[in-house]
Amino acid sequence: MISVQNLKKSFGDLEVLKDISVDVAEQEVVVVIGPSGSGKSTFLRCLNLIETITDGHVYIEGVDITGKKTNINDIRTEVGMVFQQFNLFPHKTVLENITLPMQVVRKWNKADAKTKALALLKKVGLEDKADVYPDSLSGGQKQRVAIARALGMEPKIMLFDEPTSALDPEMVGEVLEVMKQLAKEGMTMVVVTHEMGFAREVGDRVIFMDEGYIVEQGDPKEIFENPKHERTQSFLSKVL
Amino acid sequence: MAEYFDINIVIEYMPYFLKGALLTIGVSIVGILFGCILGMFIGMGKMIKKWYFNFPFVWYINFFRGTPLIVQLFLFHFAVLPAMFDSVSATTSLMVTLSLNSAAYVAEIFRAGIKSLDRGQAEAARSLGMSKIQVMRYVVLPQAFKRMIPPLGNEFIVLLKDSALGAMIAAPELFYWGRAAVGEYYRVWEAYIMVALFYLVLTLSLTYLLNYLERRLDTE
Amino acid sequence: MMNKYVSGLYLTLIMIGLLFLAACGTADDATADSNAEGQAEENAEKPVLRVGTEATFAPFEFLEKGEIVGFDADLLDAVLTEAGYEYEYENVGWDPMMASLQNKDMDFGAAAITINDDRKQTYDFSVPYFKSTHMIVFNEGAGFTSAKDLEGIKIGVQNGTTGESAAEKVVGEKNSNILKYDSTAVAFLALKNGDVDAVVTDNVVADEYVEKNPDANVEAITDDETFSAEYYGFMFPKGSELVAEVDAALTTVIENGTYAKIYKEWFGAEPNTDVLLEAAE
Repeated sequence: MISVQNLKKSFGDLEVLKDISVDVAEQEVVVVIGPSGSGKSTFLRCLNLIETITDGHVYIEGVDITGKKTNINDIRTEVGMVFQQFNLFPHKTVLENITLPMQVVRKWNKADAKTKALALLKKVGLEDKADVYPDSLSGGQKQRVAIARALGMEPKIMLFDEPTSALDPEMVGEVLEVMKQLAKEGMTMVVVTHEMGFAREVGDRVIFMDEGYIVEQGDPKEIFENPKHERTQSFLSKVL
Repeated sequence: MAEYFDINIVIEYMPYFLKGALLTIGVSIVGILFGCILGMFIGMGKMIKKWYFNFPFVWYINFFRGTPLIVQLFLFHFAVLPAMFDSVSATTSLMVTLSLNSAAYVAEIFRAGIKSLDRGQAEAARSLGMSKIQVMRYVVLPQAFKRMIPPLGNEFIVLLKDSALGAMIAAPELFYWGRAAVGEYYRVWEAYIMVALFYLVLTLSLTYLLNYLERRLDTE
Repeated sequence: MMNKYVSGLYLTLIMIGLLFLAACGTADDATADSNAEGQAEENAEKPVLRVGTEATFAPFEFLEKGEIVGFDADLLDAVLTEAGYEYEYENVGWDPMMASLQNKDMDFGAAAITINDDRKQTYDFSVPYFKSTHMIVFNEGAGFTSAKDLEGIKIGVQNGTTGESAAEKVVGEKNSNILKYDSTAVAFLALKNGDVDAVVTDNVVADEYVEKNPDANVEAITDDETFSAEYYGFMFPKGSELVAEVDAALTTVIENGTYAKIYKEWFGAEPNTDVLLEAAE
C-alpha cells in the first residue's frame, strides 16, 4: 500500500530524515513513536508530500508520488491526514468544512455531499453540531470533525500526526475511540503519537524512530515488553 | 480671529463645494478600486520567494510608500504622464497617482491579511487534494478579505483626505474650491471651515458604512 | 498603572515643549544676520517684526539656495533698516500669509501684493512701491494678440492673485476655464504641460519667465485696454499701527535713491519714482 525507499529530508543543512525505508500493508495500522525531533512527524508529512522530499522515493499503491506524471492532488485524495492543531476552516460551519472539499475536489453535488457529511458526523458523534462554527467546539470535537473531513474524501490511507497532543486529557479518549473504530473497519493507518496505550492496543506494528533513523520496529507487544535496542529501552523507560 | 462669519461666501460657493465634493468622492473611489486590483497583484508579486522575481514589486512598494504623495503627484502630472500621453488632465493625473499610491498600501494590507492566517489551514486543504488555486479561492482569500476590511477602510479614508492634494495641480476637487473662495475674498475662516466640514461628513459616513459592513460580515 | 500613564504623558509634553523651543531658537538665529548688528542693541525695545511672503514670484521674491531673495527682499531690508526694526522674512506661502495677516499673527506681507479695493476691506496697505500691469503668456504659435483671445481657452493663474482677477474680468468669475494654481511657477509648468493655454500674471514675472526660459518657446503680450495698471504695496492687518512708520521709511528710501539702486539691480532700468510718489498722494 505504502512503500518508502531510501527517503531523505533536509531543512537547509539540517538532515531530519536519514535514509528511511519501510513498507505499510493494506489494512495495517502502523504506530510511529520516538522522542521529539526524531523526525517522525516529518516522515509522516513526506508521505503525502505536504513536505517536499529531498531524496528517495515514496510509492502509494505503486505510484511514485514525486514522479513527473503524478498528479499529487489525486494522490492526496487517497491519503487523508489529521493534524495536531485540527486545522479546521474557521469561516465555514462544521458541515461546510466537510462538504467543501467534497464539492471542490470530488465535484460531488451539494445534496450528495451534505448527505455524506451528515453520515460522517453521525459516525464521529457530532451530527448535532453540523451548523455551528468550529470556534464553538471543544478540542476533542474539533479533532473528530477533522477526522470526518478527511474521511469525506473516501481515502484508502489515513495519516495521523499527533492527533491527541493538543487536547486536554479528558478529551483524548473520544478521539482515540474514533480512531480505534476506523482501525477496526480495516483502514490503513499510519499514526504518529505519544499514546503508548493506543499503540499497544490498536497497532499492528510499532516503529521507533530516533535522530532521523528507524531504530527498531516490530510487533507492539515485542517492542514494549522486550525492546532490543538500547535507545528504544531508554525512550520507553521514560514514557511508560 | 475672524470678526464675523460671512455666510454669503458659503452660500455663493456652495454649488462649487458640492461639485468639488463629488469629484473628491469620484477620484477616491477610482483610486481605491484600481488600488485594490493593482495592489492585489503587487502583494502577490511580493510574496514570490525568489528575489529576482519579487524585487520589482518590493521596489514599487518602497517607492510609493517611501516618497511624499505630493511629490508623486507632481512627478506624474508634470513628467511621467506627459512623457507617455499627449494630454493628461489634472483630474486624470490625480486619479492615476492615487491609484498607484494606494496600490502600494493595499499590497501590504493584502500580504499581511494572507500572512496572518496560520499555515496549518492551507496544509490541511492541500492534504484534502485541493489545488493551490482552490486553497486560495476557498480557504485563504475569504478569511484574508475579512481581515482586510478594517485596514482597507482606513486606506480609503486616508485616500479621500489625501485627494485634497489635487488642488495643487488645479484638479477642481473640494479643497481646490475652498482655496478659490479664499483667493477671491481673502477671508480664510468661511471657506476652510466649510471644506473641513465636507471632508468630515465624508469620512464619518465612510467610517459608519465600514463599521456596518464589518458587523454584517462578522459571522463567527 | 495610573502613575505610569501620567508620567508618560508629562514626558511626551516636555518633549514637545523642547522641540518647540529648539524650533524657535533656530528661527531666531536665522534673522540675526539679516540685520545690521549695531542696530540690534539700539532698538532693543522694538519688537522683531514678522514679515510673510510667497517666494515663488521671481524676480520679486524667490528662493536662492534656501534664502529669500529678490526685489521685495532688498527693498524690505532697506525700509526696515531705515525704520529701525529687526525682522524675520518668512516664506509661508500665499494663502497662509493672507490668513496670518487676517488673524494678526504676522506684522505685514511683502510679496508683490497688488493694492485693490477688495483687499482694502480686510487689510491695510502701505504707499505703493511698484507699478505693474498684467501679461498673457502663451506657447509660441498660439497667436494670441489681445485679452479677447482668452475667451474659451484654459487659463492658468495663481490662486487669489490679481492675475486671477484680471483673467476673470475677461471671461467671468468662477469660470471653470480658469485653473487656479498654488504658485505662478506651477502655473507655468501647467502651460508647458498643456494643462492650460495661457497664463495671466504680472508683467515683471512674465518678462522674467520669458527671458529665463528661452527653450520654453513662450511669448508674452500686454493689453493696456483690458488690464489696467496696478500698484504693489506692503499689506498689513486692518488697523495696524505700523503702517505710518513703514510709509515714512518707504518714502525716505524712494526719495534718497536707495529704491532706484535696488530697482536697477533687479530690473536693469531706472524707475519712474514720480509715478509712485504721485500715486501715494
